[in-house]
Order: sequence, then C-alpha cells, then structure tokens
Amino acid sequence: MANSLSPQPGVKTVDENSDNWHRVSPLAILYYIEKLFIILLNNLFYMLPALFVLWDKIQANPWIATGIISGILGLISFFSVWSFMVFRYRLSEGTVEVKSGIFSKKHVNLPFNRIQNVKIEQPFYYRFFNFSSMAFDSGGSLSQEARLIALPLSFAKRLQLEINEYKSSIAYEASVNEDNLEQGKASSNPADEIIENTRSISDLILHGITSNRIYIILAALAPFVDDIFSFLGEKLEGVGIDVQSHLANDPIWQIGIFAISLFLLVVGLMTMLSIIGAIIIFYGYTLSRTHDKYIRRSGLITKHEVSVPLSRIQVAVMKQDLLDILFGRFNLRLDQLNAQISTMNAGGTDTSKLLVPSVFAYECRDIIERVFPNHQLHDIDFIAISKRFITRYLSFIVLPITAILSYSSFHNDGLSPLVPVGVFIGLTGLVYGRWLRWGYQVNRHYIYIQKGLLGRDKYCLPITKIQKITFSQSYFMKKNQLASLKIYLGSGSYNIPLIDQEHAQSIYDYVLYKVESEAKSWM
Amino acid sequence: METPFTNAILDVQHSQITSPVKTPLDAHYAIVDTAVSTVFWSVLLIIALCVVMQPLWPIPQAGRDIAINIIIGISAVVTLIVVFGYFAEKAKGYCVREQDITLFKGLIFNKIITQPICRIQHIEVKRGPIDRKVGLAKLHVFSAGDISQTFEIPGLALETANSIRNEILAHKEMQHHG
Repeated sequence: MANSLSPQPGVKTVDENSDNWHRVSPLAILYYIEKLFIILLNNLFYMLPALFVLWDKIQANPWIATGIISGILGLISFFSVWSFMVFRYRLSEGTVEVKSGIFSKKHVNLPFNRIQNVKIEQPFYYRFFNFSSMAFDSGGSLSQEARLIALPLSFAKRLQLEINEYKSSIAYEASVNEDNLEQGKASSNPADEIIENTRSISDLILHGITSNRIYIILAALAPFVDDIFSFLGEKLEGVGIDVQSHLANDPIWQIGIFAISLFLLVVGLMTMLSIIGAIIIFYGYTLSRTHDKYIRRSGLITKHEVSVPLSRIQVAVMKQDLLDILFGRFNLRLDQLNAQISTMNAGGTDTSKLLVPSVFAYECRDIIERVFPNHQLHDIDFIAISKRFITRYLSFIVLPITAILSYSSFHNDGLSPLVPVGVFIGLTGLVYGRWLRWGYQVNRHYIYIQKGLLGRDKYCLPITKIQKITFSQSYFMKKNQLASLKIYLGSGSYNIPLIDQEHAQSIYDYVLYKVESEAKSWM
Repeated sequence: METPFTNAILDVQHSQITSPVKTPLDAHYAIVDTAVSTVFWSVLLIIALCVVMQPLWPIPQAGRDIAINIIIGISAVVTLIVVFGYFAEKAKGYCVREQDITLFKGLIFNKIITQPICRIQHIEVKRGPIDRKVGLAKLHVFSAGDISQTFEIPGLALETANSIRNEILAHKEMQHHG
C-alpha cells in the first residue's frame, strides 16, 4: 500500500505476476444477479398489463406461478454463476484487459492512457464485504468500456490512483512544451482533494419536488380523464364499490371534495416518489476537486463515484425547471464528450453525469469558475433573438395545424369550433414563451445561450473548444438580414436561431479566428 | 433584455481574414448524381408497375387502377425530388483556407459549415463504384462530438480530393496531434 503511493509510473506495484489472467471474487455473482434482475424488472414493466389480465388465473393456480418464478430465479442464478466463471481480467504493461461474456465473448483491451474516467461503484451488497466494482470509460465507442467487477475496495482505490498517476506522468511529458495556462503546476499530489460542495437532505427534497414532472404528465392525461375514470369505475365495481351510484346519489360538493383529494393524493404520491428517487441517487452528495479534476460521490443504496478531468468538460449548463425558478435554485451540469454521455445512458444510470442538484446561482458561479475562468453565466444579460422567430413558427406550424382543425370542425359536427381557436391560442402562447426565453451573448472567451419554455436553461460554451460552426440563412432570412448559427462542441450542438446577420457573421469570424489562432486543446 | 452589444473583436490580424468563397464542385457531379437517382427510382417504379400488371396472379381491375394511380402519384413526387436534388447538388461548393475547410450547401436554407483544421480528427477519401467510374471522390472529415452531422464534400475530382487531403494532413496542427 505504502509503496504504491510513490509517484512512479507503471502498474507493477498493484499486480505482481501481471501476465496471468485473474478471476475476481465470487461476490461478482451478486453483481450479475443484480444486473439480470434489473433487466427482468425492466421487461416486467411491459408485461404488467398481461399480469393484470391474468391475475385471476394466477390466483386460481398459485403452483404454476410459483413454478415459473422459481424457474426464472434458477435461470438467473445459473447464468450469474456462469458469467462469473468466464470473467477474467489482466493488468499488464499499462493496459486493462477484460474477457467476459457467455454467448457473445468480449475481449476489451484498454490502455491506461486512453482511459478518460475511472469510476468506483459500491452497490449495497458489496458494502458489507468492503468490495467495489470499477468502470473505465474511454473516449471512444460503447464497446470500449471495461468493467472490473468485485474487487476489494482498497485494491480498487490503489488501482485508480495508479492509473491517474500513470496518465498524469505521460500527460506531463507530452505537455512540457505546451504553455498550459489553466494548470500552472502540472502534477501535484493527486490525493489533495478539497470538498467544493455538499448537498443536505433538504436540498435533495427540494430537488425531488422541483424535478418531478407530474404536472406535465397530468396535463397530458387530461384529455383521457373520462376513459380513465370509467376504467377505474369498472375495476372498483369488481372490488365492490359502486362508483356510479355514489356519483348519482351523493351531493355535488362531496364528489368535488372527493375528486380534489384524489387529485392531491396522486400529486403527493408522485412527488414522494420523486423525492425518494432524488435521495436514493444523491444521498451524501459531495463534489470535491483536486488540482485538475472534479469528483462526484453520492448514492444511498449504490455509491457512485465519477471523476472528470476539468479539461475534458465541454460545456456548463445551468438548468431550471418551472419550480426551480420559484425557489431560485439551479441544476448545474458539466458535460463531457458526447460518446461518453451515451455510454453512461446505455448503462441505464444518468447518475454518472457531473450534475450538482438544486444549487444557488453563486454556487454555480464558483463551481463553473474552476472550469471556465472568468465566465459570467450566472448574471449575464442576454440579447433577444429576432421576433421573426414567432412569425416563423406561427406561419409554418401553428397556422397549418389550426387550418386543418378548422377545416375538419367546419365539416364535422363532432368537433367544436372552440377547439381550433383554443389550439391556436395555446400554441401561440407556447411559441411566444419560447421566444421570450431565447437569448444569447458573446464575450472574448465564451458564448452564452439561454433557452427554455416553462423552465430555463443557460449554456456557457467556451470558444476555444468549439469543433466547428455553421452559418445558415434562408431566402426570407436574408431579406430580413437575419441568420442562424449552429455551434458544435465535443458534447453536442447548440443553436442560436434568427439573429442579426452582421452580428452572426462577426461571431462566426471571431470563433474561427479564436479557435484557429490559439489552437488550444479541447480535451 | 436588449443590451447594446459592444465587443472589440476586430483587431488587425482578424481583419486580414477573408471570408470563405465558394468553389463549385466538379462539373459532372450534379448530373451523375441525378442520373444515379433517376435510374434507381425508375427501376423501383418499373418493378412496382410489373408487379401490378403481371398476368400470373391477376389483381382485380379496381385494385389495379388504384395501384396505378398511386404509382403515378409517387412518380410525380419522385420527379420533383430528383429535380430539386439536381439543383441542390449543383448549389453545393467548398472552400479550403489556410486554417479551415468550408462546405457550402442548401437551396432554400443556405448553410456554410466551417471546420477548423486543428479540430479534424481524421480524414477519408471515399469512392463508390460509380465515383470510380467517373473519376470522382468524396472527402469525409471527422471531428469530435455530434456524430449525426457529418462533414462530407462530395463530387470532387480525385486529384482535387487527394490534394486537399494532403494539404490538410500537412497542416502543422494535424502533425502536432499525430
């Protein structure tokens, strides 16, 4: 343990006989059981309607159900043991090699210097034994993600340290002749972590409340209220509650109160779920930083750890949902490469993003400051985009929809003429709200974009990291001296629609000038 | 919301940059491309017509009429698309400057996409069978990030494509990254 802390490149210290393939601890079986179980649960979700229909039959023959369930459990255990048996890993000459897979064999070979992120996870079933699993992200494609399951925690931590040291020693050699302004001293002790931010339970509860979108779901369900109630009515009748007779006999106020309390119950229940979700994901949240990294740790059941080098961060986003605006909180997101984000999503957890939930503007300012010095995302004034934005969406989307609806309501008695009028007013309101939120601003080092509809998202794009830029203009836009810009970063593309043509041209020129003349590394 | 924009970005060096100017693609390209899509659609529509008209498993007359009307309708739309495609391909162009490479495209929406050479990850000269026949090539430029939007200059004469590629590979920033 002690000798591994000395800054010495190579991995020999971690693994003595490095040419052999190793098995992991049998605890890996638990990992596979969990994984298969999650897959099963995900698919069960689609089978729920069938279960609901067949419920009576299952009740009648419990033995068959027991048989099926125990069969499934047996299969899960069988495949978990098998997966564990075929899993091998090897650490040699600065690479991680992993062999895995039953039917489709997979052999991943990942050199340390290609590893972008080392993530240590501790699911609850590993915690009793002090074990952990490690995930290595490479910048590239999905198939190049390696995972070492079931390693002792101390070993995992040592390996993580080794990899980081190995990488920083290589990077240091490579960047000696580059004058790196952001990181004055290249490699200090990598263990010097400073805690930048923590989140209390009340923050998380607030995050749960604001991030839940129940009101949107309810609004979407509104047109089907009749169907839902008649369906529920039938089901309740089956249980012995006759809704129809209650509706017919009880006074209106009683039904009204009943409906309101039912509504509040649903909202409350969904909010509770959302709060519980937020607490499970973000419990014990800490964001700490070393000289060149942000490290995020959180999780109630499974502890996640994500470490992101500051230089890899491509964009900072301050997101606010409607309720966040009321409470004055932001969700801060620092995005890396696109490929990595999709890797994480494919893993089924967006817990791996560098997200700071429900923080105040000044905290956002401080956290972003480390990544993008002298940014002004938190208090910049945005320039509005052209009002033509409204005209464009009205004429190309809202009016055609309204026209079709009016036509069908004119020829069809079932459709009240109020519908097209309502739709028109509603959509126009949305377009107007969208326009109201759009804004942009540029200064020497950053481009800022604001957009949103109910919520509000603010983006900070560092100009030196831009990959390419598109200037586009239609015939009508040219006539009105407007143009749109699309900016591509490693993390994705960002639009600035319908702004003054000359300003767009000068931003386009300036971006290219800045990127090309400075040619700074974007990774 | 409306704040006056002051931003001193115009310095001496900057004003020396000239805006990219469109160089048209190879003169044959738009015709070749249109010919290919015309042949493709014609074959498809003729097959559809044969299926409808074949005597082995006769389709009732009413169904046949409907099918033929549908085919005529599709042909009209396809003709429009092909004609539009001809002019759209003809409108494409490119520009190679010292520090970047630009693609011009669009008939209704004019797009100017500029890729700084220092951000190029790798570069490919691609030639399909038809390209080989007529001596054309596509230049495919890759950078990090949004994979959905590829940067591809079609319809270059092979020598032009190769010399652009060599020019880019010889750029000092590319050598720097290896």
